[in-house]
Amino acid sequence: MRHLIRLYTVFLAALVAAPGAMAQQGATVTGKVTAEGGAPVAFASVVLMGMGLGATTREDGVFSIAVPAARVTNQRVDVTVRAIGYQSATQQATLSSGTVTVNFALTVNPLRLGEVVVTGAGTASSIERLGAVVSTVKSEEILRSNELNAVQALAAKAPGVVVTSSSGEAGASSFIMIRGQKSIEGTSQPIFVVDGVPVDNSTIVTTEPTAGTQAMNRMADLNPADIESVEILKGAAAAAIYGARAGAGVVLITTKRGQAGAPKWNYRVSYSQDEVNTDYPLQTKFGQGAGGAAAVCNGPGCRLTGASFGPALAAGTPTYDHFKEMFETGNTLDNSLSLSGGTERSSFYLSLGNTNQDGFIIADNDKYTRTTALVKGNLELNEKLRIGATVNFADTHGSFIQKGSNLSGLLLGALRTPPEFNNAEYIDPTTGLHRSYRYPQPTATSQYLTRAYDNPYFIVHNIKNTSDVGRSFGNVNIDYAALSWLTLKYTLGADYSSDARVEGLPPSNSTDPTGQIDRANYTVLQIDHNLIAQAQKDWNDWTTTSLTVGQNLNSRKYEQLQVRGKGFISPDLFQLSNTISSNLLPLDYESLVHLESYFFEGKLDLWDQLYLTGGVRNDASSTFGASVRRNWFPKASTAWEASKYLGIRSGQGMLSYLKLRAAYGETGREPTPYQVFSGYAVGQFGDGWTTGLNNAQAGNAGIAIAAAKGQTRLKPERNKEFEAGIDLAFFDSKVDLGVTIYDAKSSDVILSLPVPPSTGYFSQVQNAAEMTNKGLEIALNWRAVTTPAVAWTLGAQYARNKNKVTDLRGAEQFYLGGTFNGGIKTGYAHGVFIDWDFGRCRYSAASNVIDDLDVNAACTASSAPDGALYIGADGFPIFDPEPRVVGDPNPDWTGSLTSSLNLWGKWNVSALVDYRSGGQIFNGTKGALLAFGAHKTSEIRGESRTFGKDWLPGPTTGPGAGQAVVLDEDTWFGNLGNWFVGPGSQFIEDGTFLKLRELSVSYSLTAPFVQRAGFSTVDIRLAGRNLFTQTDYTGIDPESNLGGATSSRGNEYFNNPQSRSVVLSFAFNR
Amino acid sequence: MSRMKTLLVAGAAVAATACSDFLGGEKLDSDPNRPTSAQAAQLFTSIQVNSYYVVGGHAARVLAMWMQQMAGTDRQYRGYDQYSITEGLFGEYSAAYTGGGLIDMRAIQADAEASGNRVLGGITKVWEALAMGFLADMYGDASYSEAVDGDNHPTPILDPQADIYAALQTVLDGAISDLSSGQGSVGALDLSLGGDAQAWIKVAHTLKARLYLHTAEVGGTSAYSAALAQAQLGVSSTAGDLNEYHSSAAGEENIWWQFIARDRDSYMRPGKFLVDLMVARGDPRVGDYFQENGNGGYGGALPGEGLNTDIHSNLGLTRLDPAFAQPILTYAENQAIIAEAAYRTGDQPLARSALNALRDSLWNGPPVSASLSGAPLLTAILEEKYIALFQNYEVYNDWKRTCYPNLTPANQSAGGNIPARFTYPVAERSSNPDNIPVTGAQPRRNANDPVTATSVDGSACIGQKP
Repeated sequence: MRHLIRLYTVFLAALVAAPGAMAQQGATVTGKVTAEGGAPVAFASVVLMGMGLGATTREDGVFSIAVPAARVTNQRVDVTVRAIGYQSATQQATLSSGTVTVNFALTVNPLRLGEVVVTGAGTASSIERLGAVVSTVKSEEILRSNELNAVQALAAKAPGVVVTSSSGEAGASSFIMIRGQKSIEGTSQPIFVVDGVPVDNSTIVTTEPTAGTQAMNRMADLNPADIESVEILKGAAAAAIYGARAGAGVVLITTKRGQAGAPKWNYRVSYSQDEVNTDYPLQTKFGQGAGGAAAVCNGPGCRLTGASFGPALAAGTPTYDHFKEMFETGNTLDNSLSLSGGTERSSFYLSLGNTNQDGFIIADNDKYTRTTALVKGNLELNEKLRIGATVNFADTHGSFIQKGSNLSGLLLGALRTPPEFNNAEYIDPTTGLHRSYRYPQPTATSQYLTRAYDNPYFIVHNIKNTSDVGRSFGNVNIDYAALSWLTLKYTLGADYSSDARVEGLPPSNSTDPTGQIDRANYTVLQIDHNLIAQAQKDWNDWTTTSLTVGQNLNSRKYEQLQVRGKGFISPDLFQLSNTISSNLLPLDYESLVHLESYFFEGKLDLWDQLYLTGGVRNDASSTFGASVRRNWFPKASTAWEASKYLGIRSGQGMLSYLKLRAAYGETGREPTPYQVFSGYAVGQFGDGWTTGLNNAQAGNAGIAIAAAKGQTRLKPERNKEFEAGIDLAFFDSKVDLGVTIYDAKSSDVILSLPVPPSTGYFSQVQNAAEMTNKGLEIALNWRAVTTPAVAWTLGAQYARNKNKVTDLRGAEQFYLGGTFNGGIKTGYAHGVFIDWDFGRCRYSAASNVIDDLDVNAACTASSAPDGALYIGADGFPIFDPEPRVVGDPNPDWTGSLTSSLNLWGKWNVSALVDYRSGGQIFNGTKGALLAFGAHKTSEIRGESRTFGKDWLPGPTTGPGAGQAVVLDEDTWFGNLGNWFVGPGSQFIEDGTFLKLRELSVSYSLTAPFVQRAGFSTVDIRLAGRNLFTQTDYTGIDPESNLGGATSSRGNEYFNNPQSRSVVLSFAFNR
Repeated sequence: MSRMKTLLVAGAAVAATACSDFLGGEKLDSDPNRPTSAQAAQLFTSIQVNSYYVVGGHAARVLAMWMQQMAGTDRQYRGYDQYSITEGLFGEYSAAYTGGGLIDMRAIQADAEASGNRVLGGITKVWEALAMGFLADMYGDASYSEAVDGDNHPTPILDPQADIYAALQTVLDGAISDLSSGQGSVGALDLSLGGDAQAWIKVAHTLKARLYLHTAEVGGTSAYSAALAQAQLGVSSTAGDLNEYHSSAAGEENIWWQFIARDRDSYMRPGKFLVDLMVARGDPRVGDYFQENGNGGYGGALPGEGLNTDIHSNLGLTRLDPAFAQPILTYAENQAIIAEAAYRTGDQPLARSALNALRDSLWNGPPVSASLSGAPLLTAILEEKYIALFQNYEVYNDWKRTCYPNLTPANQSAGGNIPARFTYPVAERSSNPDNIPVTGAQPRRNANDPVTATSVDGSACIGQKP
């Protein structure tokens, strides 16, 4: 009834006003929003206060708000501009017919005070109220990175957030880790939440992480151009609202939305050229053979040694760069188009994106294409009820190249090849069959025989590895302002992806010469229901409270349909039906997880400067043991704007701002499904050296008890973290500084605790381990020049994290998956390399008697220092059979420097330099290549060296110390000097690097002809990605990782390398 | 009023979504991917296959290298051949207890007892004695009395090697009694002998004889007498041999074929010692055992020598065959045991006749001279056995006991020494530290294996050190 009356009133008013309204035209409020240096501010929100009208600025900073004639009464209105990173500004304007121009020159808001950020599960907070750090990455920073993968775009953007690309290949996965490793068997990657709904960022490898191919991480399905902002909840206090899913932090992504105003569109096209960023040191003096004798092929079918320990090559023998020849200049074409707009009560955003990448490996089987669409609509039904919906769609195709520890791996086959063998002739001219350096003359009947290692040209041309993904995720949401003080918010989200894989190795491949194909389909479905009620009350001038209670129900389903077929019938048809049918091996798996949670958060603001937050979440998951089903995750934080207490006018003076904050929180990580149950296994037996025997034989079924015993009392892993920090601004806010320290303890960390195999089981999971992460994060920004024509901003970030495994419940050590020697050991950092070493003074446990040689006695006799290399009577070191920690892949600290220079509002020059100090790499590639005499280092064969002096320099002791010895195949490179025979410790290298991540120059074209063509601006940008790397590391790249996005880091073993790119882009804005 | 309505709406929404059984139901209350129970018949296949890997997998290959029947010619195997071994090298210890090992064997025996299928129980006991006997041979002391009973014994103690050998004799007596009962059957589930209980009784006796032999270096004549008595009840023809089952179907191929022909092409070749020995004595099996090398002759590799296909023969195609049924316990071994045990207990005529039976059965070899006696007779028996048991781990047990053949270790000048036992795997040592000493504190030799000072021909033993 009341509505009817109101409508009637409006109608009458319109009638009364009608004559005047017809005479009077509407008003258009327009203007330009700029920042220091004259740079236009895009996506700023401009609002006519009290009128419910507004718009966002275009790329050129211009906005335009149409006011209907009926509402133009020559009244004065406040025009307010808000933009991320700037202080909001308000100007008065008089609304009259025609065009009203209001321009704004915004000043930056260094600490983003007053801005509201989302803090998860439907909550939000203004920045100054935050007691725990939330790092924000803005859309410009994402775009400027020129990364196709939304996760990779976060690299070096926030202190304490480490992002690593597993390779430079098209479609490669990126790994992200916040404030160190917190889990052993689980991922240390944060969960991703897009527009309030948790989404999948898994990286599923088709076969195994150390071999096979790259796999995409699923967040790569999101078009980076659609991202409005990214909030990273780093510590447990910030992330506790996500309870048992937030142990590794949370990344909240908000996609762009439409704003009231005329429709805007934006088209951006960029083209990049990508190339491999390194060389590889291979020897070119000695040919194929062993013991100095050449390998001679005595006719078709000959099998030759894999080694390059043959005679010196005759002068003039052509040699080949087996690394460089595998790479070409790749290219990427990226198009994105967006259209957005809205009215007072509704808005829409529509975007289309298409990326087409032909990677840097030769031939056309390294590719990545992605087509995305995003549709978002919001509608205000009435003053109380708002609804919205978002749908993201992605169609993604990847084509990859075999890598790693793999007889069909690209660089394994390529780099082991002797220098004089021409791999490019990979097809035998006589038989038309695959030839390799170890099987150079295939016989006519060798179609199904191994080539020992595949010819790399065969690998890139003939092996097929594809991934075809359909992905859709989105949500519907309802906000209902039930009462002046009470709001209900409901979000129902879903995320579905289906990934069809083929990994097909045609006959004559060396992995399975009969031909092997894996066909797989991985389906992921996540449904998330989130309902919250928020109440807010101002009790008096100086006391404000708000309360949030919520319920979250989450269901995650995973289905893997995978079948491996062996024995191709036709040599080049990649179908299971093309294999001998009795050789099909099913590898299917499914899982379902349900999580039921309730949460509460309360906030108290006192005197407008002291902010207290407390909350708790209760999670119950089907992955927890039934007797320990419900688990609590509390949090509490406080922030104090001391500068207000001190009477400092915000943003001004020598000390312009001061805030102190402290927070404590607990988060968790769910166990993987079904670890609470015991069972039997169907599969294969083996000894690690052979493919194995099925446990069904001769038609008899066979199963055996599973290796792992179920654990009925399994709880989530728990991360308890305290953090404290200070945010400061100086010199009229020209300089701002944020410092945070944290101290986190992860307990109940799930471990497949080995049980003595003599009990019949290998392991049983336990909430057993504990580890700590302690760190320091600093962000410093300096607006060095802030004149109207020039703005120059410099930024620095520093982060250090110290991880230590403090308890493994008595177990000595563990090896991690996705690595050869990365492990866990009490008293050491997560992921240290546990490998063998040479006999050294006082390093080995027990007696340190090795092969009857008393090492420590010799050390004592010669007063040699700890760690001195023991040199046997023959002048060579000896092998210590006791493995120990020989390296640590965790960096000492990481840092980055940014510089951005804006000139006359048109030019921008920016750079980002990324530095990592320390973090060792296991250079397994070198360790293997030395065994083959292929590595450059082995070129000195036959020469004399002295251990401790000019070979493995350092202190030595023992009877042969100081004695020069001849290093050749038998004495060294084919012996203890390689990783197959000798210790891995000799291949641990420092991984310190300096990388020029980004360098870009852009120009914004606003010339009249551009405007006449219908554009507001045309932005032209020339940028470089990873143009320069400075490192002492001698392997492929200090950032590559054999296992890809796995928690074991710093492993190199014939990994595919990283890329560098030059990017040219044009953005047409209207 | 509207406030009430709001609360009602909110309450209804929560109630509607929080169904009480959200955390339960299909695929939540159980693992949809794994069986939760197993039948004895299914486990029985697994224990056979797993046993192939325990006694005929990686350890058997490395032992064949140490015995110089084979040689490591590439990568890690070159190192292993030169005794560059690490603690984690031999996982057979773990495999013998876990899935397909003792834990499943015990489950089968319990099931067989409950269902009265004594033939199934008996055969399984023979497999148990084979696997546990292997552990006693290689590691010495091992967990047995407290093994595979994690609820009562989470960290099983080590039983002395001699106790294990004694216990296994009892297990085998039980097996023979079960097999003799005529109760139950296994049929084609028995991959090796088709469920032939009589054949299994003979296998059990041969295994008893083999295990007695392992105690003879310490136990002396009485152990040889016991071995002789059992061997005389043992496998009586090559048709009764206990062999592994293999076929050319994927996942059923001979393990040596998998290693050499498919998975690790260049890692191993026949050893120079064996090839030269067989060529020198004109053994007609040389073409079965070895392929011709690149030069058209037969040649073996020295320990750890890099591969040279011109010189190094590969394994012969008779044995390098995916379907080759790798021998485990054979008539030939049984005859060799009779021959040696008869010799050791003073019955040289019986020793000669058993040796002749062995020669005849395997290569139609002519009888040895009736005057062959003394040390040359013993040498002849052990030489015949060394060749006959090509690739079998028992060759190493014989060498430890007799120092035949009197092998020159790899890198002898640098102090190379053929290892006298296996160290426990890291998995067991690190999770059972109270019972398993660290590598350095483990004995260097097993209790049944004192250093053999002289080889059977009277020469000083080269490869065994204290």
